[in-house]
Order: sequence, then C-alpha cells, then structure tokens
Amino acid sequence: MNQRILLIEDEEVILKALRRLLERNRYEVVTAKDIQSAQACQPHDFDLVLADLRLPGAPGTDIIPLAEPVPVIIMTSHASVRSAVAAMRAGAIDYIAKPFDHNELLLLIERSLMQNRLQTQNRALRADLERTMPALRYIMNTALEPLMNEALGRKRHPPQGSGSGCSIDCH
Amino acid sequence: MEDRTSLDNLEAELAHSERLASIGQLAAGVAHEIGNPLTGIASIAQNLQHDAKACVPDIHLELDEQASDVLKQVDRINAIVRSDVEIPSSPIVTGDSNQLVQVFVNLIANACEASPSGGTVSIHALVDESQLAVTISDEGSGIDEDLRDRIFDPFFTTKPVGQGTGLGLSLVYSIVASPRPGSQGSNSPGPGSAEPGTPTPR
Repeated sequence: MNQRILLIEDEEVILKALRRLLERNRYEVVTAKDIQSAQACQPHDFDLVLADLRLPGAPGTDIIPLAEPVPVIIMTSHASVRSAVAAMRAGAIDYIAKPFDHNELLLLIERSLMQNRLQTQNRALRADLERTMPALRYIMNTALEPLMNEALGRKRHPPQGSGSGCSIDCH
Repeated sequence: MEDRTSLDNLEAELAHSERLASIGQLAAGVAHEIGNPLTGIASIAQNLQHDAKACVPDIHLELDEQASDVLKQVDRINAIVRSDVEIPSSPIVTGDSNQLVQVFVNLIANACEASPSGGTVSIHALVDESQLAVTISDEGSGIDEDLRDRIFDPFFTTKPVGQGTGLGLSLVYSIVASPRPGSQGSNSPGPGSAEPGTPTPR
C-alpha cells in the first residue's frame, strides 16, 4: 500500500509541482492550504505531514501537535536558521529550506518515514517485552536503548572516520 | 567642556546603523517574497527535467540542458537573496570567552591609562571572510618608534616604576597569537596613538 502524505502549502504553483513529484514517487498525496483545512483531513491518519512554515492564519508548526505521532517536516524560507531551529524545537522531525532540490526532499521524506517506523517498532517491542519478561527491562534501558539511539543518530549523521564501534554504557 | 565633533560623529554613526537595520529588515522581507516564486520555478524546472526523459534522446538532452540553465539562474538569485539577508547578523567569534575578555580588558585599560583627561577611546571592528579585526585607539601621545617593537615583551612598560607590571600586552599577544599569529602593534600618524590591532580568528 502506498504511503500517505498530507501536504500543506498555500502557494498553488508549489502545491501542484510538489504533488507531481510525490505522486510520481508513489506517495498518495492529500493537499491543504492552511492549518484549518488540514485539520479537517484527519492529519493523524497519514504516514507523514509536509507543511510550509508560513501559512495564512496559523504557522505550519501548529500541525505538529494535531498530527501527533505522525512525523512532520517543515519547509522554511531563505536563511531563516532561527525559524528552522524553532520548528525542530516545536517537534518537527526535520526541516528543508526553500527552494529545494527534489532528490534532497525525497531523501528527507524517506529518512523521516524510516526513523518514525523504527521509533514505533521500538516502542511496540519494548511494551511487548515489558509485558512478557519484566526482568529484561533492565537490559532494555541500560544497553539496548543507547545502542538504538546511536544507530538512529548515525543514520542522520554518517560517521566521519572509517571504522566505528558502538559502546555500551552500563550503569 | 565637551567634544562636539565626537558627539556629532556618534550621532551620525547611530543614524547610519539604524538605516542599515531597516535595510536589513527590508531585505529579509523581500527575500521571503522572492523565496516562494523561486521555489515554484525550481520545482517546475526539476519536474520538466524528469518529464523530458520520456522524449526522444535528442529532444530529451536539449530540454534537460535548458531546465538546468533555469536551475542555475535560480541558484544565482538564491545566492543574492541569501547574502542580502545574512549581512546584518553579528559576527560570531569562536574562542575561549575568558581569554577574549582578558584581551579586551587589557587593551581597553591600557588605552584608558594612556588617555589624557576627558579623552575618547574608540573601538572599531572590521569583518572580512575569516577574520574579525578589532582596533582599539586612544588619544594619548603614542609610543616612541624605537620602543614599539618591544611593547609585547614581558615586563616591558612605559609606566613609572610600581605602576605597571608590563605583562598586559604580553598576555594579550600570547592569547591572540596562540591559535593563529596576527596581532600587531601600530601607531597611526598624528597626535593620537593606536593600540595594537587584534585580528581574532572567527
């Protein structure tokens, strides 16, 4: 089944071009022009939300709590490092500066979906383990979680040197 | 008695920096307004590049090249818009903040001590791509040319015995010179003297 993306953007031209790009890459796309109409699309039923920061009415980051736990990527305009940082603080999984390279955007979407999938799996497995084998909780918390976090971190920022190893921090 | 000239200069500088700030705000607004249509153009050009693959090879290559040209123009405009927005930001200097405080405290204290009563100590900063050059100048008598080479030597001082340790500028020099050499003493012509410029790695 195709993954579903909710695209929130008020500029018709960008909306059209992005829809073509995403649909061509086998995503199912639903579009909205502001937060209010996005809310009516049941944002939490999507796999990912791609929202412009500057929208009429309310900023794109307002969709983050409404879509929870669906990952949200925020599109920011030029050189607004401050707004990018604010978007991440508000809980966005990532951001991309306009104008963007299509391949870069596709990569970002793929990576965000993967990261979200891993997190969801991790949560489910943990709940499962805690229920069936409470003794394993200790191992989960002390050894596996740091490894998991490290693996996720590595995914986003590939190691700079060659040869890397994970260290287990035992308390 | 007050120095009208320096007061007038200060007012002129203030007006100038206020003008720069409003130009900065205008540029940021313009940048945003240009950003959206530019994003549209870039996205359409990239879609065309993709769609061109469906054409016969001759036409595909030609369309691809033309779409690339459009994207190059987009990059050019983007670079202009970016540079306009980023100029008004304050320069960020990487370094040990305690050491930088020591540098400035010593240089400013020196300038004050060398100043005549009521004199002005001015601090100017010049930013280039990789360096921030800070000049601290006073209206004192300056340092004799034959002594100038020694101002960074430890224990060298022109102050009366017991009033200066002669370690201030030597400390400044060791701090500024340690990551990258670039501190130099200079005396501007005329009655006033200039304290050492301290190019600081950014």
